[in-house]
Amino acid sequence: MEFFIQQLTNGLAVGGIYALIALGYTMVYGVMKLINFAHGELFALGAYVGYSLLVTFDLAGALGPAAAIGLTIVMVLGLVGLAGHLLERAAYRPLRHSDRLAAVVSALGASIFLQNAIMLKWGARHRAYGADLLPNVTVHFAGQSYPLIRLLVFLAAVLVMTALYAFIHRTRLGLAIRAAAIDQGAAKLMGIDVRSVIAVVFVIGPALGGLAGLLVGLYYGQIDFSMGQLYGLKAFTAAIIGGIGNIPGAMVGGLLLGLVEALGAAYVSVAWKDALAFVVLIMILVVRPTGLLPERVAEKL
Amino acid sequence: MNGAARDSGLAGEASGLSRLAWLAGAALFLSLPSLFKAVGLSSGAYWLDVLNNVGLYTVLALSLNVILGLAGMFHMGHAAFFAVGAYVTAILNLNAGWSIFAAMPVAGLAAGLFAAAVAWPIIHLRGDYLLIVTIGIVEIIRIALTNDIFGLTGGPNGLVGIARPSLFGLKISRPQHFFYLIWLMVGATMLLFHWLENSRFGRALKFIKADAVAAEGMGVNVTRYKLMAFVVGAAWAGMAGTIFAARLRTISPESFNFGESVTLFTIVILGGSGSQRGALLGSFLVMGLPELFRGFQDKRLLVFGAALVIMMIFRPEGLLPPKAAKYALPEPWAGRHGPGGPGGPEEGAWPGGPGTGPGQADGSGRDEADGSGRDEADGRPAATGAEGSRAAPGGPSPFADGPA
Amino acid sequence: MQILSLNNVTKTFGGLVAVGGVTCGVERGHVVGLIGPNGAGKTTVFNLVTGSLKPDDGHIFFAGHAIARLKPHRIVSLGIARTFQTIRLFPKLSALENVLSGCHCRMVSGLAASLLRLPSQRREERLVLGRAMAELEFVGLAAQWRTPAGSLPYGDQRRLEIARALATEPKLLILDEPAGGMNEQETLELRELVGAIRRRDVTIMLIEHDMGFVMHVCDQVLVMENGLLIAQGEPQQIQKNPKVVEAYLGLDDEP
Repeated sequence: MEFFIQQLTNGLAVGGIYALIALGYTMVYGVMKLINFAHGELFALGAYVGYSLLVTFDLAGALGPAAAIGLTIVMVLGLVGLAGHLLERAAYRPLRHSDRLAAVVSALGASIFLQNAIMLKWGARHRAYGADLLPNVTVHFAGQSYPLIRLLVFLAAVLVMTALYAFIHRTRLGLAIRAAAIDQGAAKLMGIDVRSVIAVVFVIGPALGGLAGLLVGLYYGQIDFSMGQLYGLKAFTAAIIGGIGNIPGAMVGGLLLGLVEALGAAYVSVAWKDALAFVVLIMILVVRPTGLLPERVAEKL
Repeated sequence: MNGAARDSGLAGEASGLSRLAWLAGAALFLSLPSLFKAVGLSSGAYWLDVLNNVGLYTVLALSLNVILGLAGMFHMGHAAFFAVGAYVTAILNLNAGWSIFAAMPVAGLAAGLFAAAVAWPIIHLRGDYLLIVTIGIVEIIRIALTNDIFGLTGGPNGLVGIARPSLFGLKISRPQHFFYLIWLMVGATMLLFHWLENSRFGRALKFIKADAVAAEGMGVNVTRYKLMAFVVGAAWAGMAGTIFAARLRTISPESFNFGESVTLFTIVILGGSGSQRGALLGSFLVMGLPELFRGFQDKRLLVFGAALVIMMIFRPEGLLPPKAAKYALPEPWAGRHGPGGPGGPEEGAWPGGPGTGPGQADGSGRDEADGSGRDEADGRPAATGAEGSRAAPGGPSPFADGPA
Repeated sequence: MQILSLNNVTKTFGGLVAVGGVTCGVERGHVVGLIGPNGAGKTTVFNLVTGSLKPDDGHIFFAGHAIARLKPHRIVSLGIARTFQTIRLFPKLSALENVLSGCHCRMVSGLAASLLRLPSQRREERLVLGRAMAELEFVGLAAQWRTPAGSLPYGDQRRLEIARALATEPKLLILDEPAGGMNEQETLELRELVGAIRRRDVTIMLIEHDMGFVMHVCDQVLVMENGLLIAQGEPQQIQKNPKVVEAYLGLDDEP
């Protein structure tokens, strides 16, 4: 039982991270119908920006752990958000009215570019956040102890997702995003500036992805330049499982995937862990071709 | 020469010239191995290896093109089928002592059957959902191979010691041998797939790509043709896998990862989705060109990524988008509405035999009906005749495909 | 003899009854008009007959076959062809290739014959090209055979769609608002074309809002309102039927 609960909480933390990344995929897809293949690299960028701030500049030493983490979060959100914005301007905006596959290849090119840029800047070897970065605190609850960081990662993910949900559903800008996701043309006719909606989405999505990168660095302590690929694929899978374009769907998909992986690795096979996500994906899509909480689509005759 | 060109119709002459240029180019290309030797190029073997790689990827890209380019299915998992072919070849060779060329058709068949099995439950998925599932299939295959599935795949280290193929007693071992083998395969693939493309089968795929609902409504069994496209593309990739295994003699799961699938996807779209010439050019650009910039070392891929973005922005429909298909109309239509397709080599070979007059072939009701519709029909061609000739084949399609 | 019969056919969309137990038949050789106000369920009936939608209840028989559960491509090969309410050609492909899509179901060349360009395949291809050209000529578009469908003028696109449908060699041709968006001249030409098609022994069923057109070309008219069949008969009777006048002709002045 204890083992099960440890795996469960671990799965929730990892699932929270997947969900954060998946939000970026799903928001961008919702508005632009584009798979942002470079999103995984923006996630990795977040991890490396965090590394530079916390390890290279040793912010924790200068400010103390809490203030250092706070400042790092703000910096990661800002810098990766900016990178996302630049990416949209350079690689996607010129292709908004082109064939969708052209945009897919442009996204793949941007992904290759960013991954290699990260490698050239920070090197091809693993980087360690360092074990002493954060005080090694454990929390006791219901007769068991958990690492504090696991709790924090999960709480951070839930907090951010709740905030995003409120933003999308309670603000005018959020309304504009939802409208543009349903029908860009109609949104334009209603006076919504679709271009700036896309710009906003391309700041928020990458910023959240970057935050997820920072959380991975803090949670696992180790990062590498190609980490964006696998996390990106898994998170994209999560977004599809939930029903791409659907924000609660990304959260559900992410958490589900985290749980399946953690429990699968524990009870089925560690070696097959990375395949599980895709097996679940295929099983769900065979039964529900547009995911668990799909966008409403009807083929018009 | 000029006068002759004018007499025989410029279009026909131009295609004759370009056919000549193609032949000359191909001849020059095929003499490269001797040329390298003649000029004493010390890195000749290396460059032949590069060309062999380009050729292999051309075959793979052409096979992916059937699925992605012709049928328009977002398939980013082609490495899975390639892997099945390579592993089946290696296992048959190592465990059962089969010769490489005997294993080749089995490898193709296995990849085709595998494709049918995995594509069957997912064939109805829409664009991006299919894309992620095919990526998933590649990952599942890679992980299965790494985990030594059925105890046959050798785990992460793969399989080593695959035999060299031999043909009529000649052992194919050196780069120049593979050069001819691979580029022969490229040529055969281009010819067969050109025929396929311009047939009932290929057209059905084009209709599905353009509008699957309309295609079904016109009597095309969309599900069946989508599956068949997967099977054909996969079988070909499987046979390319045979050559791959024989050439490297060692295969491991990492040769068939998601990145390989992305590379093939990129080649097809960059070259021009649905275009054979595009797949060829794309393979040279993606697999060959970077070899010229070895000096840049680790910045190569950085530049490559940026170049992909830039090329897609300036040529979103690809570098060599497919040309309109050519049709050589039978009598009595051939002469009446301008020259038919300017006659690719195959069309030219058609016997424009007599007795194919469709007017007579169709029932008598037709003639009567034709007569009654004549008054309005006659006014039209005159009014729009200019339009017909403006849209002569050979020009790129004037349509930009808007996002759905 | 009835070539098509619907027996208590019902289709609902999430509680909304689009077609509520329609029973009717189409005589072979007739031109039958299906009219009614917008949202009456006319196009849904067409989609049910052509297999694009499956009925929740009821039976559809066509030339001795129960077709309600068949996939659209099977129904096409049995002999029902259609055009779409909003033109649904393959815009980038040439007029000829569009018509060839209709020929597909009457061809037999398979994968191997296509891949290897066997003599049988070449022979079939030559024959079919002739047939496709004949259909283009039939609608007056032979000279534009190379033009991409999407760059044809609107009226020509409508007629190309008809040529494409005729290429499937249908026994029953279903036209969904064939005169929609056409000017007077084009409508007149379409009338001629419908006459020519019926002389080829093809039964026609059409939805149309242009009452002049319907009254002129149809032998039988079916009237739908709110998913129900409220009247059927010859055009003259329909014009006088008070129920129809109330439901449709009097209230809804379609252009």
